[in-house]
Amino acid sequence: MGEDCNLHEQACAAVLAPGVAVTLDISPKPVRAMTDLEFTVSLSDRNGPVDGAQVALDLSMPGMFMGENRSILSGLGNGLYQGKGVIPKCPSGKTLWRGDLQVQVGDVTGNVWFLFSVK
Amino acid sequence: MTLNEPLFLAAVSGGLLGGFGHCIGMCGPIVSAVSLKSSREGTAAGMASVAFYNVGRVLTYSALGAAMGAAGSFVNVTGRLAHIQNMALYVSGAVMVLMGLDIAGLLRLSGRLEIQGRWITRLAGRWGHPRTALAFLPLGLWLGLLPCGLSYTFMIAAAGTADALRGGLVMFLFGLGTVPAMTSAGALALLVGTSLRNRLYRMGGVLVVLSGLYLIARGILFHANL
Repeated sequence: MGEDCNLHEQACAAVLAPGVAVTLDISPKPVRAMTDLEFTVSLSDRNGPVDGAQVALDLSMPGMFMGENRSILSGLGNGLYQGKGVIPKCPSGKTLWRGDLQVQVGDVTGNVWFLFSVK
Repeated sequence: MTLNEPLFLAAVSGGLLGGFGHCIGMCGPIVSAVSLKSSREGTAAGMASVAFYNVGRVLTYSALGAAMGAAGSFVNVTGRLAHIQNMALYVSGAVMVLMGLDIAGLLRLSGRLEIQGRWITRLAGRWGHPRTALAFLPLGLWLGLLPCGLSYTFMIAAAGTADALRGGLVMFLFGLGTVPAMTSAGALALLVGTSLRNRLYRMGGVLVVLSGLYLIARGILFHANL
């Protein structure tokens, strides 16, 4: 998606589908590898917060197969979804990760991705 | 608990895919050094060494998975292991440098890497030229601790099971999945080492030395980030 946003400082927003906005936030900040992380997603459309969606975050490293690292996010209400996970450290020194957010609302499935470096 | 659970299938397939796509890059030089080191006793001894190295590595993975599952936390266990894993990088690098020098004919180790405990010796009697090969079992056990992003991912999954048995099984299956790639790397080194022994065998040793130095450098980098 290529949005210029720094997950170390703020939540990052994207358009999941026409009229459907999504933001991803990772805490604690700065985002570090090998620590317990909390992923928070907010989902909204023209009518306000969207609940009842199935949300998952797949973490991968561009150009390096790292296996499936998926966090399933649970709905908190008011369009918020939260899950926990860990980003492993690559001993090669590479720090760039990609988070693919998979969202399913009813029959509609959307996918957006975020690129970020870990400390 | 059945072996066809998605998590277990993901572990073995992840090991299989990652073995060829990821592990060969990092551990290929190690397993190549293992097979080359033993190849003076023949191809069978070289492959036996690779097999024992793999057994040791998979056993360590399984133990780590069981620990992750029992603790239910990847971060807590790896936090305690970080310095040991860092040491594993140094040790593996140093071992590779020594084996590379031996392969290149610049140093005679003559079995100094062997572990000659009684149980090894007894077991050795049941095999053809086992002692050199068996020496790589403890090496595999130790080098299974090498820090690796791919194995971390499956350790995270093992921790997520919150169960020692299931966690151990996840890592066992992951390790099992990586065996074909690691065995292929060892076999390839043997093939090249045998066919080109007269001219390039020593060069292979030099490459192993360089790979060992690279691992030590990675250990320094890993240490800096602890």
